[in-house]
Amino acid sequence: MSLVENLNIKFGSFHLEIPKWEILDEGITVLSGPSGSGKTSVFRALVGLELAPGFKWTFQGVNLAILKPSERKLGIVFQSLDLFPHMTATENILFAARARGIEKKLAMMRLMEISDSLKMEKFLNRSASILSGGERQRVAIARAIIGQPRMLFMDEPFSALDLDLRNESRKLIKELLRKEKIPTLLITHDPGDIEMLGNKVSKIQFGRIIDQV
Amino acid sequence: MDRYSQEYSKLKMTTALLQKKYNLYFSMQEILRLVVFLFLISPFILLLTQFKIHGLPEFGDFFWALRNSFVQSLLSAFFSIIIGFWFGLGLIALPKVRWPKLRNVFEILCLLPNFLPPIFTLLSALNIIDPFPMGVFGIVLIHSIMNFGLVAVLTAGIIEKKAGSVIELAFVEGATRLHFLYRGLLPMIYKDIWSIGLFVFIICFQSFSIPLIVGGGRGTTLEVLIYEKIRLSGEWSGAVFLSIVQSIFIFLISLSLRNTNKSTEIKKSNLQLVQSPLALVFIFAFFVLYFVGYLDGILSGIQMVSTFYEYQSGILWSFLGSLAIGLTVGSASFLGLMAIAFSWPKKWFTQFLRGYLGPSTSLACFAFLILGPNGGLFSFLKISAVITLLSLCNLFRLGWLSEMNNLDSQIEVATTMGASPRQIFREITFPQIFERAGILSGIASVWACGDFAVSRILANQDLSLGMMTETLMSSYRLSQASILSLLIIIVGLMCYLFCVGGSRVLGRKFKY
Amino acid sequence: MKHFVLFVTVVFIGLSLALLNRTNQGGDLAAVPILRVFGYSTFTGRWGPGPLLKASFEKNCKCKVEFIEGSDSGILLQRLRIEGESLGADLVIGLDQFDLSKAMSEQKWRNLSLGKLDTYEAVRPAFSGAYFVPYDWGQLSFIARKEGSSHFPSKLDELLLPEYRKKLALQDPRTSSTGKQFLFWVLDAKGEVQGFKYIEALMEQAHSFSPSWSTAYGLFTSKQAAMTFSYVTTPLYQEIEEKKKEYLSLKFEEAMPVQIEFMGIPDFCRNCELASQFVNFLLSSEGQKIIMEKNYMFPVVKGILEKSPFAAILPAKNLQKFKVPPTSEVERVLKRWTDIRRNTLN
Repeated sequence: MSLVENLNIKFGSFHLEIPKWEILDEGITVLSGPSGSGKTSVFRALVGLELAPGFKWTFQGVNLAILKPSERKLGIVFQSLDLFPHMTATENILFAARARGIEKKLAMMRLMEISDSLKMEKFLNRSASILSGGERQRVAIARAIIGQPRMLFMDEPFSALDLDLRNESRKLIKELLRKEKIPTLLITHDPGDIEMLGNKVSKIQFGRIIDQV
Repeated sequence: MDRYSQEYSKLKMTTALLQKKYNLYFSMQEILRLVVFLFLISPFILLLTQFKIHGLPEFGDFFWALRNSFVQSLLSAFFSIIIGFWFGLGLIALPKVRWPKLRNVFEILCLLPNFLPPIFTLLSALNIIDPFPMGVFGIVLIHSIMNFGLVAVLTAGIIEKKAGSVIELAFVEGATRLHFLYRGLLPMIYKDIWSIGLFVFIICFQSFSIPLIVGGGRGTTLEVLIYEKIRLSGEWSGAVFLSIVQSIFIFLISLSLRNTNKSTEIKKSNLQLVQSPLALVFIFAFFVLYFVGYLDGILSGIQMVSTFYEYQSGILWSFLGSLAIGLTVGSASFLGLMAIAFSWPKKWFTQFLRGYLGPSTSLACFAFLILGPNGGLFSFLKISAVITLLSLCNLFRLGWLSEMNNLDSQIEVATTMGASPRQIFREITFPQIFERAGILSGIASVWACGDFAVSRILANQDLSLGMMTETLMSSYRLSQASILSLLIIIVGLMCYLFCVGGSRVLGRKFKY
Repeated sequence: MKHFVLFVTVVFIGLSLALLNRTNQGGDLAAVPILRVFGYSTFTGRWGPGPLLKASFEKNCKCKVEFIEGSDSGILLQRLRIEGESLGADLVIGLDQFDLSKAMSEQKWRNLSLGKLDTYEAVRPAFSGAYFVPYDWGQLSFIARKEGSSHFPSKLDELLLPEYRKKLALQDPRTSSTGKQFLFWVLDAKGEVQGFKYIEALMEQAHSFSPSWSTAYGLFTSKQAAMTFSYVTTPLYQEIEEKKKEYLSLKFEEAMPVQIEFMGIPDFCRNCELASQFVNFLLSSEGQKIIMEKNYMFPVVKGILEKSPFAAILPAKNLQKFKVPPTSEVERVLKRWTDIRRNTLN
């Protein structure tokens, strides 16, 4: 179990206030809530993109809150996916491997494994700028996990997909995460995501965690 | 481990020890940021070491000039935006996807008055508009002619990138043109328009020769007042003070700017609802008039072309001088833009670049005059440094800011992945921005080719075509000066192509 | 990429060498002393008398002449003040009577020793100073186009006639020496009180106040304005160089303004003897002839222009008396002018 404490940030009149919150250190924790409830703010604070004085996050004995974003060793999938458009799918994924200092041979092996799991062979050499929504999403996930992160963070990763594709993606990713054994924080407001993926569900409203199941 | 790697790790360890001992934790990014910052404010630092500010200048003069600068720049920006917006609707009638070459020709035409030395626009306008309205209206007119083309190009790009699909939707749903422009398009892109407006406002605020020539009595602006302080009474401390206040004023205004919405790739969209072919006709007509006015001067110069014969070697030297200054400024601007990109993002730095006006041209020149020896290669280097310094912030506002903003989220993602600044720059930033950097530094090199204001103060002899043109004009030879200005266009074009081409070669080389 | 880097390196080295070569033209500079003359660009530049004077002087002096260019006298004085000795100037050329007082207060100058000269009456008093010596002079007046008008103003008051409303291309006296000449001409002719009233009235007549003579002249030649304030030699230039006879200079009842240009040797000169020789060369027949023909100004020494086209326009009478206004006086008058200008719409 990882423990988040004293997460307090003010954005104008909006106040994010989380005195204590537990995130699973295996399986998928879902943070769910309506638009404007503060989900993305929590996400950005945990990743290290927003400063929160006094904030503490203990993960396997390490306080991640005092580390720089790059040192927290997290895998991130933003809602906008943010693939690097000038690169191919492979290049996008290998970029992350290089960033984590993974040796080229090992990175290639990992790429093949992940590509297998996510069924990416067909578009690995295609430019990211011409990939479809579902393909982009799979590349973003592969890119986030190739560096063997401590934890995977996903912000509404299925929101841009249609219903069929969404279900297929959920299945693929659930299987992958089980295989890779990467603890995951999934941010979503989609009940389908919660039902299919959530091992633990926390609800957030007006900047406060109101329910943890 | 080879010898190089051993040396490298030894060096790394020594650096780490030194850092630990003296608590020196400066990353490459921080150092570059500091270098760019210090370079840009160096004239103020140099001048403040020479001239202590004792006593304040007359505030009556100051407020009066500030008001003039403000009113003129505001009106110029307003009209540039109004006409530029309409011309922008004209440009989108030539979609980039369908007629890329024709669109490029029109865009270059639109940009010419902004990039050519103001004297061309002035002579052209005076030839065409008779009688020319002197005074505030005259300043606003010339400034608008110089800037609405630029506004048109920028606006057209923004409409196509951000509003294409919305325009199609509104068209299908049967919205009327005016209603959509007012209710749909403007609210969608007002932040961008505001930022373009501020850019034009700042250009007009810094303008010197136009207010002085066509300004009339009530036209004295802050730039003119600063010049007067130096020239008339040698009141350096007053001039430095005014320039600092002017910079702070612009900086405060720039705080109103917010990051604009992220733009996306241009898609093929049907923009029939808002495009205006009539505006396209007007753009064409306007440039025919512009060039007729300019060519009028050229034609009378051609009759005197034989007088150039005995000066051909001088012209050749000046041509090479302009080329050297243009290329150096182009390369230095490219490096400056890359330094900014490498040290991106940092909030204070962004805000500083966005709002920093820089010192007046004459102040920057005199600051560099104080610094070290002059003459020969020193003059050449100082001219290039001052023009780069004066251009860099304008280039930043002209397109670098939005370019970098578009990469913000990618840089954020890469940072969280643990990528080093070097990897991010080499693999993410550089491949996506080198072309734009080439274009922007090309623009700076064109500015440099036509310069005479900076060179005239810093050089000990006619070094460039711009200076030669000015010397010709000061010795009755106006028509020959027009001919020489043609050479400025040629050398400017060469420098521009060099920068654009050079950046592409670098882009290919650094393909990860 | 390698080719590109090679290309860039070659271009830059080539251009730098070209520039260096240009500043050091003439080979071994250490062997001969260099006389550094600091002057404004239209004098020292290619179209001015500078190159011919240099070539002619170098024939006999066993030295090299090098010009340092400033854009105008205002910049000359500023650079002298800021750079001082490091500028390396042995001789300063191109100051007019409005600059002398300032030049004296800001720099130390050397006493000049001159031979006996037969000078024109208009400039004779200007030779009385110990530190500056005139090398040419010009008379200023309004220049108009012959075509399209049969009557031209012949006194200052006629410039206020409605037909000249917004037709006069004037210079801003704060930035232009001809502008200053015009302002002091009016004040001299009318007295200060009436003079400033006249200036107030004249604001309506001005097409523009340009920052420099060249811009005002440009506005006039592009037919934006009917008249401009310039040198009486302007029509002669047009006749000789452009083979046109479109312009004429106007004669006024008031004593006409005269601009006298001076040179001086700063105290920090390095080749002071050469500078002194150059001063005397400029006042020789050869030097004076070059200056007259290239600068389109009158020589200060008699016997040069008599057989030239300049003779026909040499003003003999009705000229303002030479005086050197103190800096504070110039500043006061300019401030007053600025105040008046501020209250006018044009």
